[in-house]
Amino acid sequence: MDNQDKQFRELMQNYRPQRAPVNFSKRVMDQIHALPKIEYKPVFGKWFLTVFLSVLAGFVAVVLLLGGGGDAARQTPGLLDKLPKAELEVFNEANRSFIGWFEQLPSVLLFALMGIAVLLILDQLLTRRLKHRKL
Amino acid sequence: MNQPDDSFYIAKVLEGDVASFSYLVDQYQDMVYGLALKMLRNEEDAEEMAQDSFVKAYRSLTSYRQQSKFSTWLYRITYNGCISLMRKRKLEVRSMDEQQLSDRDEARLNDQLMEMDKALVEKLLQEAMEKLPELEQVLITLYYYEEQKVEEISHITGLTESNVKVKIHRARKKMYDLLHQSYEEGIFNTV
Repeated sequence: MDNQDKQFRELMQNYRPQRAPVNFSKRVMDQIHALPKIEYKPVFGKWFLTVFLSVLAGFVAVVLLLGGGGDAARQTPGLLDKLPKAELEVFNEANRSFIGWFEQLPSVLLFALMGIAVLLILDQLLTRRLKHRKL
Repeated sequence: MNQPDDSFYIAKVLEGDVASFSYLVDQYQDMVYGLALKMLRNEEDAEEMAQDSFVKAYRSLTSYRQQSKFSTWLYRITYNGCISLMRKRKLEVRSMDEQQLSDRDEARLNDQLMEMDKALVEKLLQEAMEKLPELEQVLITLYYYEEQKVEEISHITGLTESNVKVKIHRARKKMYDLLHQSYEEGIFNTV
């Protein structure tokens, strides 16, 4: 900054820019308070996600317990097959019918369920993230 | 104890404390309004523009990255708003004839002004300022009164730093010319 600049800056300290009108601040804050609040709400509540994930986890667990699906399941004994047969007669019956039902399910449906689960988790994460940004 | 700065209140607003934004409004209302008034030359438009600028700043606060000062960011919002309105209304930037004083004359005039009554100097500066084109008023205020850096002014106005420097220099020359004219016309002697 040269000398002229310094001199002029000193001179400009006598300058008073026009002040904002009275109550300006209040009017601005009133406008801000009147702004519509944009809140992000999850598509389903927390409970739905918990129940959905529990059902899905149970579903996956049962499938694993039954030793997978299809031919492989018939050739390789599942975890339940290692338990005493007498006590599992009823359960084995259910196992067979479940595997039969499971085999009929199209894989597209399974992928769709997995996709829904991922979307619901993302939905919850987004809700949490936006909670910290309240504007 | 240190007074909390802008970033403290910005953080509070981002946490959901809307009332904290009023500190920022109080702090910068005069400058934002003054900037809008200089560019739009109409009190109603300036007030509306200043209010809109604050509301816009509030709504965009999450996108403020603190790479520049809050004031610089806010002035840029106001400046851009004014430019858009001026373009929309096709307001013309006024020009004025240049008749430049030498550096020595400027220094002499400066000394004379500094010896005068402050209220009178304030009035003369105000009058001279009003005769400048809008952009030059803004540049003079930001650089000499607000003491913003050339880099910050460049950020606000979108002009290159070298262009800002040239324009500030020209604007200062014009201010001295106008002050000199007032002096020559004997305004000082009437008080």
